[in-house]
Amino acid sequence: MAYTCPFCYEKFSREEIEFRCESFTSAACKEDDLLLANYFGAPRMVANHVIPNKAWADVLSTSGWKKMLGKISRYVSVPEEVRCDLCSAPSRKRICPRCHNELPTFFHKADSHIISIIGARGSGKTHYITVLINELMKKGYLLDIATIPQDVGEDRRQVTSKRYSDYYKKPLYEGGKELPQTTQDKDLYPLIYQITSGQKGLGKTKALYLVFYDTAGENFRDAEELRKLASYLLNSSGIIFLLDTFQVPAIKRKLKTNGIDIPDIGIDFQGVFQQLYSLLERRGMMQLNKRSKTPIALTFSKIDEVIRHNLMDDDIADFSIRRNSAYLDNGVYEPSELMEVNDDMRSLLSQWEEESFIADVEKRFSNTAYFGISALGATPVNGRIEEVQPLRVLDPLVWILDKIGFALRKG
Amino acid sequence: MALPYQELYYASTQQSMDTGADGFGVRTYSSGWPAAVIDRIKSRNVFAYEAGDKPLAGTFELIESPDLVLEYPKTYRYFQEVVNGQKFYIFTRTVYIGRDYGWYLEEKSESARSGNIFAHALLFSEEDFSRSHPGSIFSAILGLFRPLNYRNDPGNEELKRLLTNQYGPPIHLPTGHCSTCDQPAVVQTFEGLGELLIALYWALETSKKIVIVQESRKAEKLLATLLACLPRFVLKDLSFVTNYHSFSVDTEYTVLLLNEYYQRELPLNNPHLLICDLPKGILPGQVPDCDFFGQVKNLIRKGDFITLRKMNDGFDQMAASMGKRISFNQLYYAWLHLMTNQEHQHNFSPAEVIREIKDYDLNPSFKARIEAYILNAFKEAVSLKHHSKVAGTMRLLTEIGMDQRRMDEAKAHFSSYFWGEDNAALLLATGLPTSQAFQFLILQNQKNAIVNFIGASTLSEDPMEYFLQKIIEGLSEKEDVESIFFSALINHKIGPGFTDSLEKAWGADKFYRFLEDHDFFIYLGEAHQIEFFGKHTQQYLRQLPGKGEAAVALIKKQAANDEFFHQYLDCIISQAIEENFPYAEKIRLFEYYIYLLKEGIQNLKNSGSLDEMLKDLLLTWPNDNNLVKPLLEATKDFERPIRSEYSLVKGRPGSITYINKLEYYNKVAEFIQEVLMSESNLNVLANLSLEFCSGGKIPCSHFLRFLLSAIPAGKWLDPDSCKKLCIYFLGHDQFKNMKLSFNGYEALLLPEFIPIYYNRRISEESEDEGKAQRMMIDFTSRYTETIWSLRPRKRRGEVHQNSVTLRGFVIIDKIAFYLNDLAALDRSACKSVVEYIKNEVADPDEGLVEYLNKEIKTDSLFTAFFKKISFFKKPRS
Repeated sequence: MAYTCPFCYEKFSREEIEFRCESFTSAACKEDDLLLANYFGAPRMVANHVIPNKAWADVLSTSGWKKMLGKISRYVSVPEEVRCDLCSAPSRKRICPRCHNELPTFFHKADSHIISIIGARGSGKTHYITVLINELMKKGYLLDIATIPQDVGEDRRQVTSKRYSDYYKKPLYEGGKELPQTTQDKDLYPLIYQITSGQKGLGKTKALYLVFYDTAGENFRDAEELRKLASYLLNSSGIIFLLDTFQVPAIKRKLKTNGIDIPDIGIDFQGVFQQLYSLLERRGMMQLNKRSKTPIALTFSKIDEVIRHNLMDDDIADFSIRRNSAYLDNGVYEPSELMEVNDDMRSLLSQWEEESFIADVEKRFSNTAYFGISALGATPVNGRIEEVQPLRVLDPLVWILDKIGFALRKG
Repeated sequence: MALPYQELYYASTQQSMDTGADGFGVRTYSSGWPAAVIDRIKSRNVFAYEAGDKPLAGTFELIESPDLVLEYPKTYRYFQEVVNGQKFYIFTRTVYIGRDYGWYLEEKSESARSGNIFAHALLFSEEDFSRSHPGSIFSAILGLFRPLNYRNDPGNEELKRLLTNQYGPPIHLPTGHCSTCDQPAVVQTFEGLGELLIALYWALETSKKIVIVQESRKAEKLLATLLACLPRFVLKDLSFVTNYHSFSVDTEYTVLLLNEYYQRELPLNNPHLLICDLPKGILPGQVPDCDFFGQVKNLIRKGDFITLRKMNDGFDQMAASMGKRISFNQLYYAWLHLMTNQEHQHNFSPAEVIREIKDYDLNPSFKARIEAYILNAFKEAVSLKHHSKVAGTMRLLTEIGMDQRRMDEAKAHFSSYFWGEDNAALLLATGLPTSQAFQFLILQNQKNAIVNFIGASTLSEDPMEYFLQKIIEGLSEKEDVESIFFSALINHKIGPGFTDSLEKAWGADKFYRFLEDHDFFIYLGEAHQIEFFGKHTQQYLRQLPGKGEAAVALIKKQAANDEFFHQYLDCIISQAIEENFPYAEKIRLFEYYIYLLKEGIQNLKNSGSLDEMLKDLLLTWPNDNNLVKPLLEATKDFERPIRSEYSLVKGRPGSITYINKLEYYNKVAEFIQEVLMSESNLNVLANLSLEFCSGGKIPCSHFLRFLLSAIPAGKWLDPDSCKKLCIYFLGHDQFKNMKLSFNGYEALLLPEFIPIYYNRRISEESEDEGKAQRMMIDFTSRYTETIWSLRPRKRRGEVHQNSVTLRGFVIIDKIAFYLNDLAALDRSACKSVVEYIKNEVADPDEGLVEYLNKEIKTDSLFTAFFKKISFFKKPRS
């Protein structure tokens, strides 16, 4: 089985996983870690000794047959704990053999799925990630999902829970402030969450790791940055493609008549999609005349404005996106509900004269669904958000989870 | 003088020149900015902004207070980039400007969010940068960084222009010109500047990073002052960053400034960092004291920035001609020498400095002064025989590239010192490389001094051989070379490996030419220098045929005519015997002899030494087979060339192979007679062998084998001893075993050889045919009798007289062999033999004589003859 490192996205097999010595005291175990330094783009980094995985068998036991067993077992399981070959201290810290970043505790036991959240500049990625994680942690239990941040990494100040709290949650939820735009700096620390399901089901995934990267929208316009994004996308199990509803020409026109002028930011969402597509194509993820099976959730953000300005067909009074996800009320995920959302959004897109976009998407991806969400529930006024009232933010993720075989409570 | 520079803006703007998109990106840059540098600095994240733990003000706060952005510390960076072999010096300033471009276009959308930064980079080419002091450049460009005003006021025209260009596309910036970049920076001293400077020097010297904690508002002043107080060459490799906040990832910057928003623990225990917390007055304690640091502190305390600048300029001048960095302290001393007249005021170590600035060519007078200084020190050391000081100053003399006149003077002093007493050994004991010492030697007209040196010096073998080799190479007079070499030999100063190393150093051609040119045999050494007869001489001789006729002729000439040569060899051999040389050495000598013999140098047989040698070898036969081996190999060499010429297939008498065989034996005999042994020697040898054999002293089968190789010369043997030897060998237990173990065929040769050689001798030496015939008959009869007597007698009642017996077929074979030979030669002689057998042989068989009489006339004599002999008859059933 191949694993994908949540840091460097490189694939590796179980027997390649390495351990890092956890000793605080052993000076002999401090060494220059070239791979780690390379990942962080630093000239050098000193970290604890990497225990070569061939040393595992020797540290499992002193008895000969157990050693042999240890060697064999390396191919079927990863040891819970190994001893450092230098200082003999026990270690449970598993690291990626490619970049030497720490892996989550049960990474080798669960599936790891990178869910990419991508979108053009201003499509609301940062807000969406912030609210999505919050919703998942707060309301995941309704779907029998437990979400735990995975605080791994050499720099304890940059671990998931601290980063999420400092840079995302606190300013938005506690400060009531609109989040600043994401800069183009190389983001080296992903947000990693372990989600587990209490549901039973043969052949279903009960535990997996979700990895989120908050990328700057500008990166989709910069050939160099796009190249770096490629491996992130290539190794994604599902893509949430955020599209700024305000950039739909029909919406823009309607808003203009309502007195709201949306400036043209120079790129329409179809163009963004085409860029994404051509990137995947260049990387060999897409083939000519063959549709990709990666689930792609085409998610229209800021849908609250559409509802507020009544930019939908008035005839559809109970438009599915007007109400929040039903599974948050009854705790049961009905695929039909999301299909209804999908159909409604599709019809909206047709109404907005975006059939060509639909055709474009569906010609390239076989697993597509359209969603409408609102992360904040309202447009910030002067950078303030009184109350975060998310609408249907979990839909795209739940849909992808279902598609990748995660055990959800279904009706 | 205006200094040209290129600029680049990076921010979230309405359109990037780089990507064409809005948002973060390179807004614009000077058309002269190298494109490759853009990619490089983007990947280095040099535009990133983080104030530390101060959170960035959001839209809401900025609306409330548009001036808030001005409170955020500015991030300055200075670094170098090398792209395509060109070095660029880059300063950047990044500021938090808060609102995005849309704000200045009065938009309320996403493009008016907060989080925008503005980075301004200034790039200087190496050529331009070198024209001024980096400190002055930094001070001057502080006023060039844009934006000047980044208050978040929607009417901020500067930001509006920089970020949006009124919705226009970005346009290239012109090349800027800094008109004040050559103005000396105004130095505003502050508390702890001196300590900070020396900490910085120390950090550079020990490859550490220096961390300076200072309030952000003072960072500009601190940097400007710091830069102004450092020499240019230091600044050209320095880099700094302000608002540094993360120590978890190592950085390439050498100076890291932390601001008041850095709220984390200082990494005080990090061995790679020197921490200077200026507000708290914490300065690194581990900086050692030295004159230079003292001087820097002193100058800063006095506020004497003019002297400091002068010193820095001096440093720059010197550093310009230096390959590698030396300690700042030593640089300071050098500067004192170079620029001032205070050379001995400080604890100056010229060796260290001179070594580093030896290529310095800016100030010839300084160099001359240094050279004179070293030369005097050298002369003084030589006259006082301070060997370690001599070595030290010699190294300097070599490294500084002293002018020729001074060098000659030094050499003259050195040579007389080196040859005298035991100075050479003492000097080299200080660790001075031999090659360096040799460079300083004058060889011409120093013959006597060198000879004395060789005789008196206690130098060990290796350096002595090195000097000898170099001296031999360096001397032009043949006579000098020879006497020096000879001196080394008689004084035991060179070991057996010397010729080896000469050959290795020179190559074979030169080596042998040298040997030829310089009367090679002289250099074989004194009588006791037996080692020179070892592998080298052998090798040399063996290679001679390949060296052409001239070389062979030389050795032949020497061997034949040179009385010395013969005496020399005799002398060595007698010495070998008298002084009881190791057996291996004796064998080597023997081998050498044999080699010379084989090469056709036959005059040696006049020399009596070989007999002695052989006797000695046999008498002192060791128990170590390994030692015997080369001897045996050597003796076997006799036969090998002859064997290759003749087929040794056993053949019937009269057949071609048979004739070949005879010829082969004759050839062997002739060869041995000619080249190896005299008759008397062989008798001695045979007696010796017998003595050994009968005394049970035969140590091993090798000995027998050796004798077997020698015995073919049996034609000179006294018939009795020949017979005895023959009998003994044939019957000896070891020999019997050997028949199987080494070569049965060779074993059978022995009884065959003896009559053949005897025959030869008779035919060659006897002029009287009748006498020869008689001798032949006599010998053959006795030989037959001997063989006959060896037959096994197992008949009842007979006393078993002889424990040695021959098997029946051997007797048939042997007697048939020679009788047939004899019959072919002279039938009457053969008949006489038969007569003899009839009359004289004890215990002839029944019907034997009759049988012989009858069958001698026929060709099938022998078969029939032996069939009549009772014990050859098949046993009746």
